[in-house]
Amino acid sequence: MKTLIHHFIAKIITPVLLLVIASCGDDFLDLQNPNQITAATFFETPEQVQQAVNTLYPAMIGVRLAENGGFFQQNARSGEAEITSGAFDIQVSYYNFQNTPESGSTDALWESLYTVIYRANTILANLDRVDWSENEELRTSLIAETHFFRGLGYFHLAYLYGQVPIVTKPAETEEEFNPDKAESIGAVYDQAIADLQIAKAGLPEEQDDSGRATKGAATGFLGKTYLYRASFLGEDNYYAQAATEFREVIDMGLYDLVENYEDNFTAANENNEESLFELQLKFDSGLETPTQDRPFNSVPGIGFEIFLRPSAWLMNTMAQERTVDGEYDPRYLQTVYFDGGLPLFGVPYDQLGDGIGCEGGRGVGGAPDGSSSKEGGWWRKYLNVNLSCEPVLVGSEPENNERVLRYADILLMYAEAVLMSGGNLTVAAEAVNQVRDRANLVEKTYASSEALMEEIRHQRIMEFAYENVHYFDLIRWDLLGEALQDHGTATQVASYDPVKHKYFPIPTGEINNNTNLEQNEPWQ
Amino acid sequence: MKKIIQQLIIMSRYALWGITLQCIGCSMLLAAGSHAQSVSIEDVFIQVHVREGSLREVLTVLEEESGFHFVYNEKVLDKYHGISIQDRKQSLADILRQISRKTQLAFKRIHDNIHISEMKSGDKVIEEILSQVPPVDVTGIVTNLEDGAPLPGVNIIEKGTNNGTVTNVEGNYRIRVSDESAVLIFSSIGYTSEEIPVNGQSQIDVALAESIESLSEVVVVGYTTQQRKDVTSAVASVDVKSMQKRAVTDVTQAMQGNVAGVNIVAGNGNPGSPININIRGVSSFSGDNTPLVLVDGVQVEGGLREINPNDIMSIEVLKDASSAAIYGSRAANGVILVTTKRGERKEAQVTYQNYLGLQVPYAGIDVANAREYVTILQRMYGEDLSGGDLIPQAAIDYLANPGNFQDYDWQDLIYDTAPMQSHDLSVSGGGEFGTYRISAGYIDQDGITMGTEYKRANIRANAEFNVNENLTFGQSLSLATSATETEPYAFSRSTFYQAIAMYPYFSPTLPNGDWQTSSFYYGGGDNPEALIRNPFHYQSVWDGDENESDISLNMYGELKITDHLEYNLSGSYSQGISRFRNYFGDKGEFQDEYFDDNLALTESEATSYNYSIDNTVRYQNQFNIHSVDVTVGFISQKFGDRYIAGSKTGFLSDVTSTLDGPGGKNPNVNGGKQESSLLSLIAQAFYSFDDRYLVTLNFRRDGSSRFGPDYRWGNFPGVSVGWRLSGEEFWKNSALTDVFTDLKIRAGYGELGRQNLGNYDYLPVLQYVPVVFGESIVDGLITGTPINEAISWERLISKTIGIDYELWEGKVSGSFDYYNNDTKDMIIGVAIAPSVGGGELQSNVGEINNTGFEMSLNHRNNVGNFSYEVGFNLGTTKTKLINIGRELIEGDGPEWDVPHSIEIRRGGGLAEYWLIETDGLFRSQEEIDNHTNSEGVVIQPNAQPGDIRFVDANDDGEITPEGDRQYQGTGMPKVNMGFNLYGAYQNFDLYVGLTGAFGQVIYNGPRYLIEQNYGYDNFSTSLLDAYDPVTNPNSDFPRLNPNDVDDNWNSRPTSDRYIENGSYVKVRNIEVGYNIPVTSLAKVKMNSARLFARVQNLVNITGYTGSDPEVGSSPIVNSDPIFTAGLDRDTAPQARSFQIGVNVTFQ
Repeated sequence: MKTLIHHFIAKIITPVLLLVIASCGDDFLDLQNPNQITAATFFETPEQVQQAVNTLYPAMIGVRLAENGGFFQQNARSGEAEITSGAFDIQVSYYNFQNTPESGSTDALWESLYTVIYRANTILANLDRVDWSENEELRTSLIAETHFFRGLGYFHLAYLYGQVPIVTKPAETEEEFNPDKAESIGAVYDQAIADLQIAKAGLPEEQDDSGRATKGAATGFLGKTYLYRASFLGEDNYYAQAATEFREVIDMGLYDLVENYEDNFTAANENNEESLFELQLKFDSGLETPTQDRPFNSVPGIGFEIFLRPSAWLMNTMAQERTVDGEYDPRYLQTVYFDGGLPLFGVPYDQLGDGIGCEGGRGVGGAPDGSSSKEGGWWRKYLNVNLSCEPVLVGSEPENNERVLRYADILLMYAEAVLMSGGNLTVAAEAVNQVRDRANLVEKTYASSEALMEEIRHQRIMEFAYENVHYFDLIRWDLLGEALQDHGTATQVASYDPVKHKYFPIPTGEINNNTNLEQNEPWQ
Repeated sequence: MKKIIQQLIIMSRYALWGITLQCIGCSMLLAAGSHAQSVSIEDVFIQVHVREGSLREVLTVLEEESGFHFVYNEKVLDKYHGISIQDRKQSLADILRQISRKTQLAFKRIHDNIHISEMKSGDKVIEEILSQVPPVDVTGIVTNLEDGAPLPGVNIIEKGTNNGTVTNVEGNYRIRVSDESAVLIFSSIGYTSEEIPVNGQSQIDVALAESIESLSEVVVVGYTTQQRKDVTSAVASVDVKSMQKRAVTDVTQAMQGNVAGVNIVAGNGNPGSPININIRGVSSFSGDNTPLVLVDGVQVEGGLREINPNDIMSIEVLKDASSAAIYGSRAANGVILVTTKRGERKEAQVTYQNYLGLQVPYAGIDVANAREYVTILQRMYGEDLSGGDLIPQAAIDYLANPGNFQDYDWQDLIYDTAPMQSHDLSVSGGGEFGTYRISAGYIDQDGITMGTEYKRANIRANAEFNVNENLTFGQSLSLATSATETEPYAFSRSTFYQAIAMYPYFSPTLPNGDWQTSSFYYGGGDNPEALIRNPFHYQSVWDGDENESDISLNMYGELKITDHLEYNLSGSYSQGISRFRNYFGDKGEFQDEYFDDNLALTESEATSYNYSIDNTVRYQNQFNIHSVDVTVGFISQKFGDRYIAGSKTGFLSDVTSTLDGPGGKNPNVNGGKQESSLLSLIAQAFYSFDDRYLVTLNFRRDGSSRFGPDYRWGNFPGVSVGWRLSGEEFWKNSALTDVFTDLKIRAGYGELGRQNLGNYDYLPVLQYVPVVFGESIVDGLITGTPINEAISWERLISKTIGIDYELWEGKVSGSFDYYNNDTKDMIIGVAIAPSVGGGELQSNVGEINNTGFEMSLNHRNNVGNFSYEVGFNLGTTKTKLINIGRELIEGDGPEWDVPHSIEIRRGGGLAEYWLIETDGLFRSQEEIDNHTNSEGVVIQPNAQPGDIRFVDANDDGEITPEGDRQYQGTGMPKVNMGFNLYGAYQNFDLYVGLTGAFGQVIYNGPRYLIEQNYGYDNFSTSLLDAYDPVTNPNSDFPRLNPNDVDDNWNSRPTSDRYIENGSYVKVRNIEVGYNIPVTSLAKVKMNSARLFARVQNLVNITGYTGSDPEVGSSPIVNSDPIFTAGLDRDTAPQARSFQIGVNVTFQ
């Protein structure tokens, strides 16, 4: 019966009726969306491609600052920070190395990275719909900028997740919507390196817009990719390539350490000479779609990042070495602050120096909301709060840029790459001493590569605490287990599995919706 | 069913024609000549000659020659041909015998009429009634029993003869009957027939009672009407009379329990709250499941909610695709066709009706008073209450000096007796020029919950003008405006939730008379985390209004091209404007951090509109025993909406009422506009063979702007067939016919489409992102996540079989239906792997199946002066989600922090509760030790006697929401039923209406809220009866454990502890009426007057322990019943109410 009806409709009714309405039908039914710009007319002018490329920047903010599983959380696992009571379950399980693919602690990270890649692929696939004959130079630069972000995406994926799908064009077929894993982790690094090389070749050294990707940023990340590849995968031959790239950055002469370490974290001194690449954060309430501000602030009652506090180990470590003037390392005092009153790790509060804790002297203050614990410190880095007795937000919203790659890192990575590739100890030591010098520490010489490497490790803690560096350093140096033994919690030690926790599990959101993808083995 | 039928006939475009025919027929019947009444036809000799003539020709000749008049049914007449009569002189009787041999017809001579009928067993070929007594003339007036209004068009037949007449417009009639012992039968469509012996009376006035349902009713089916007996699809007529007895603001709610298969649940008891409705189950996810509502053919923007129930003449519900196919793309959820009242062709009649009422809350639920509250805390934390961090300071103070505290019954404070009223005035009439009806209605209902109210005013004007006998114009205009005062939901909790959780000693006011700002105890620091707010304070700083204004108008013209062909052009426009205002005043000290936006005002206005132009051509004709009715049409429609919204905060003054108020900061504006259009070709054909074999074909082809050009058109056919067994000879000749007056089997198949997609979703759009570089901000634009440009129609395939029956001449009637509806190609978002962009791809991959059984049974009878009617209906719904694009969709839970509880899963049904099963209490340490999994692991090692034993469903040795939740029932009723009883005795009448729903569970959220062992909310009094190893070892209520979490979490929200059987029967309505005798009304020139008193929601028969088992869905978390049906969370109970009213008519 059904076939009969369909047959009848198809053969008789439809043709007749179509005739009747053919004249007026489609005009009446073709409606345009008055609220949105449709994609049909996009990617037709260079300006539009530029606008598309611009969207890669906020996408990258998502990668760095993704809630739950964003980089900040990873600080806790390195021993830099400890989790406080009241933390969300998801944070606790992550902290304890008890996260599962289902717990979702790193989902947002994966999604943000692939959003960057998806956008980059969309741009690269559509770019040549534009007539570039008058703008060849711009085309090269925009392609390079796009590859920069895609390379950055795959670099992060490689060391965070290991073997992941490599997607280089927008999906169209069923198969493309279900991409399989790359052949190896090395292949993911290969993709990142290839992208960053295109970026390095095509990006100008300086850009009109402050914060836009440059040749220096691409070169720095390329070096970092080589370094991570060498240390994560044990492919030592890449150290030399890393050193070459870092050297190139140094030789560009565009970058230097800022005199005042604090300038790396305030809203006032953004995009300075030390910065190779930073995420541009600014709040503008006049916009319908707000721009991204800083989601974290380590002040109880104001900030979000209140469940991760500097660990005792970190503060003890940072308090060890004094400056040439016998003071605490300024990096210590710029990394943490104290809520006042109590001796910390054997050092009386009033001897900790200026700028720490509650202004106005000893014994005043306490936890800003009167309810928190009376010991330990809070993060000062990136803090937008005047540390008066009543913390006050600077401006209406926190908007300090997040420094993703800065020259101090280049110097220390350079030193490491030189050492690991069997290079000159003096050259390496010189780079390290530049970093020490900025902190007003005495210049040191090193008897052996091992001693210098030890110093590099220490300086990376001093320099980059709370910047999501230390955790991955420990993994790539294969020292995380040792560090947990030394200053981790019993639960962490019990749960930690060096093979399993070298990489994050692929999120279930990906596994469930990608028919070709299987979970990485240790997480199965 | 009041004058529905009459009015419908008058209104209907075919009616004039019908009435004309009827009148011709009657005059024929009355054509009594002066032929000698004493001569037998055996003795009347005539000579005629006919060769192979038709019966019609033969009779014409015989009439001419004999002077007798033949009375016959046209249909019968056309069947017979080839009749020859010899050309010789013979008696008329002989001629008739010849005809009978050929035709098997019987002839009955009464006076000078000869009635022709098909011969039944026992009939004589020729029968003569030669009365010796002179005939008697009888006159009288026929009126409507209910309101005394005269009834035109009533058939009056002398019993046993075909002698008859009809009443005129004033209801008067005159008939000549054969003798004084004759019996008159008065009948009219929609009314109960009456048989009255003449007994020598010359005047017989009759009042006819309306019948509830009858197969001879006319029902609106798609673009045309059909007699109920001809209907081959699942079309149900709503019992409008019972509906109009419900004092509710929304017609949808009044229809509850009225039609099998139409499932209606009030979402919430507050006046003006949305009512959930679905027909034959939920059959799609992507859009709403509410049926298409057409009022006089117009898709009104306000829906049923904004209609004055008293304007309604009839409502038809098209339940299956074979009937609804004519509405194609918009009909997949079923169609509700509302026909409003029209004027009649008579003098102006004024009707006024009203009711005034009071609503009272049901008894509240038991919560602890101050003494009990503190006692419970003491049992948890020790006598001096020093054991817990969260002990309210006030509770400790209370212990020290109870005299300083008062007890407050918070439920009593927030609930109040609330008035309601309704007034309705209409004027209607008509004449040669046409008809008119104008009405105005006003309804005002306060809610029992403080601060809630719904008001609405309606005006409707309907008119029809007869330009000439071939051309008619008509018009409907409706205006409605309503205002709703909604309930404030502080912290996403309803007033009711605040009230039951509030500390019993907490005073709504401070000593100085101001409202206390929250549950903070002003004496000292009570827990600031409590989500409890003083609703009086909240109400004082918050103001939320919703206003809605609707206009809908329709104009149509009907041109009769030939007797059989007519053209109809109809244009309609409907518009709804919703205004929303939300104001937060000065919230006072200590409140800022819990409320954003002090002194903030948000206003928005949204206009939705649609217009439609319908062109239809209808052809109907009858060829012998074939009858054909074909309608084809072309319809174009456009739907749109636009909105604008603005807000500011920080006004200087608390009396600010507009966005222009002084000092407003942070201005924010928004706006948008959307449109969609639809082009449709429709065709509907009905064919009947001898009234026994019936076929209805529907076809619709729709093009929707919501789909891409290549995927835009959908074809939606429907076919239904019917077989009237009762029309078959074998049936008529058997004894069955004595029982089954009418019996019809029908079956239907149909396909319907849904365009459940956003208006422009097939077109990829760009995402805008502002991008920061240093201090400047530049534009970023990028295509969003992948979209499916090939998205197209959802398809509902519906199959129905049914039986319609009428027994003992309508004493019992009803129907059975079985249906199977399959939604294929349902549009659902299929998640895309994040690695290729993420998001969701809208795809035609979902499938839902609904099956069910429906029955209705009506019985009416008269016993002496007592007449009664009983109606019962029942419908079942079983939903199976065959493909929802994923394994599981998690719904909301009983509390904001409890994600797991309600789910829908592939292969399952809707609103399923998946919870950890409880298995009583542990009574001893031994029982705890013995509660192990299969490997011997003790499942709750830390339990103590008095803790709940949870079932370790996955046998992993521990209790987790992830692993151990099991199916505990669905919140969707499996069976819905309705029962209506009408009785009338002399001037008194009675109505009782019940509704019921069975097979669903309810999650008793309030009970969870107050049975938790936390000190910062009030408790249920059942905590007083908690298990105690010494004093109360037999209690079934778990022990009080202030550290009640983890494995032995007795008040764990994800356990089945709070699941209850939700089945109920509600005594919806009892009404008693009294008709003031017409004689006493004459003085005041009143035609009829009726007084009535009623009680609504008198009692719930249920095992549910909450306040009202009618739990639609949670009004706060997610009002979509797919997810939250049966979740009693923040639901305001319905009120019990009492009304009195009058209904008077002047003419």
